[in-house]
Amino acid sequence: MDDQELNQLLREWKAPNAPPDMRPRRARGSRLRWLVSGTLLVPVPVALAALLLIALWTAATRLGPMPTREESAPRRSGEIARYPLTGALAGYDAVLVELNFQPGVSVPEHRHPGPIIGYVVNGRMRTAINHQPDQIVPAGGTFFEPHGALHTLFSSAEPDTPVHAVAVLVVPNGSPLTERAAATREPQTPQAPPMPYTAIHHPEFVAASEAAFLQDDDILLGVTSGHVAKAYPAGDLSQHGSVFDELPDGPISVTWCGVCNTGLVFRAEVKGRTLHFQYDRMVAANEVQKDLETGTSWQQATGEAIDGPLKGTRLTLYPAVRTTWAEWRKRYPHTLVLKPMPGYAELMPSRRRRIKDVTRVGPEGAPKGALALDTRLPARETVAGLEVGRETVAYPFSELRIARVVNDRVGGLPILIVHQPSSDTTTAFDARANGKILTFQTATDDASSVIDLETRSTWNAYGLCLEGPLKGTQLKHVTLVPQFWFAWSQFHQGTRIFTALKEKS
Amino acid sequence: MTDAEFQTAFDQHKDAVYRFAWRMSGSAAAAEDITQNVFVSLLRYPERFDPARGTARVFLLGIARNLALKHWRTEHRFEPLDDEAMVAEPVDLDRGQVGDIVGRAVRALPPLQCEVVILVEYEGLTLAEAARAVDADVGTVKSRLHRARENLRRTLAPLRSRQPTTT
Repeated sequence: MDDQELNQLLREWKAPNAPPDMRPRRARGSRLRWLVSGTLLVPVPVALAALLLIALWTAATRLGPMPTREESAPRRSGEIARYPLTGALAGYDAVLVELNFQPGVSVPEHRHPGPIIGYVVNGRMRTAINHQPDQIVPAGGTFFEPHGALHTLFSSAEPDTPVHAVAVLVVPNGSPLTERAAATREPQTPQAPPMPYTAIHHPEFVAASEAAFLQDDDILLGVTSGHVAKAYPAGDLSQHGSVFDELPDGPISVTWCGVCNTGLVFRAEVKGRTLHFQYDRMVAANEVQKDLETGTSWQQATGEAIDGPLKGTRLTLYPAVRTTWAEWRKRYPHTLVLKPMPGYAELMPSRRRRIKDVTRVGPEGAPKGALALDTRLPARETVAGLEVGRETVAYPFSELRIARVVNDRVGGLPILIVHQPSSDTTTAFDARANGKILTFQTATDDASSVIDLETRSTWNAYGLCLEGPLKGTQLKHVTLVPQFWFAWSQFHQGTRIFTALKEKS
Repeated sequence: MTDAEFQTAFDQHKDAVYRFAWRMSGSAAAAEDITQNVFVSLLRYPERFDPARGTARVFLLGIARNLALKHWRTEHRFEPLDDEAMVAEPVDLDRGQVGDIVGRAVRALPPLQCEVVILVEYEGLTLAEAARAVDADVGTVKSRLHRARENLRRTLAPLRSRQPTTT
């Protein structure tokens, strides 16, 4: 369509003029009337910011006389106050920051680990995100940046006047406020070459005390067998696709598909035969691995053999939990940790950062090759998938962060799901004990313990009763499969989606 | 500002302001409210209009633009108001007259693209005037307009075959 055709089409849309009887409104008493009959519609982040600012102002004015001009002369930018949030936002801090930029000073490209809402107090701020054209925010104006936006320009818009602003961020507990963009890409090794994408068949492990390559909020898959606890960091797994390991109760394959954000552990055994897997190809934006013993191809997200001699067979899921290093180490101080191989260790920081980011806020759209038939949720929203009998349910992390404890019935089985928002650790159990169906609710805000309404016993988030009539009882684990929505929905069509609202009603 | 001056400004510009607000909001009631509030603002703060910085029409459309975006925010509370969104929402091309479809397509544009289309293509503002009204620089307005036209070209492409040929 050329310009002329487009212009011709645009002309088809006619707009009416103002109604002929329209007279200018001159009433000036409307403000008073508003005090009696008006309403305020305030988004929660703005209300939070306003409350924090009022609290701060009140505190400041009570502390003493206003500072003199000398005392208040140029201040640095930085954090003023930080408060941990509770309730649905447990696991996050609200942070109030002050921003002062002298003319001509600009900030290097950076990102923030949460959304920001800000208010320009003095001066005019020039700001741009994601290399888009810059915007000017005058004094009295506000600005908002979504989580993860690349901040490409931030400075005073005037050549001779500084800009002064305040802003509130919501970030994970204890998190720093800024990540340098360059550091986000490849912190220590900007030129580190990619390593061969090959499975590990002879893994080595180190003790928790030696796992200096892990940070507290790194995501990992943890398994236990007898007295053995092992952690497989996602930042390492995602460079190999699968890790073969021998546990006291048999061989397992620990897998990770970076495209689906899916970490699954399978028993590496079919009909008494041990299998070793190796990445083969992508099908529906999910990894397919081939076993070296029979040449059968296995779809990672479902564990199903899609071609080869064992076609139609399904691998058995091995119970595993996806959690953070801090949470896992607290529970299993003697855990062993998969030791990254030389060359791979250096690439872990960028991998783990990416995995953590996309788990918190999924990027837009489905990846190339995905079937993405089901648009009820954003393609890359992380959900915990559950399959019991013929029924499947997707529990979006965004909903679980609100609900934290879910009492559900799936495939005829009463199910308890516990989500600890600070680490996004989700665990699921058969909600029956001593022949009774139990109903649970959170005992603590962070859902580290729950209480059952029938016996008033207290349980930890891993299904063990700590106190009360059922003390010592362990609920039976049910395996959840956390992954992106597009991956879950394309392999489990018609799946039910859990919503926290329904749970509350 | 005397009453007579105010009345003249109202008579001269109310239609342009109303048309802009109507196109932006898609609602006659909202357009009427926005128009009234634009002129209330002029009455309260006449000193804010500086003839050296542009015409009264551009100044008033600038106020209307701020009010229209405020209105947009109340209706799209959870959508960010940025022009990162390159692609417009899909539009049902099978419903309504060509004019309605074009209107829906323009309104489906990201709001910062939508407003420049209306100011430039419908209200006949120059790029510099539109830049003044939306408080951005000319380059930004030019690129928003370009992206908006690309979006419209794509959205409205199926209409070509339905257009009667003119001879």
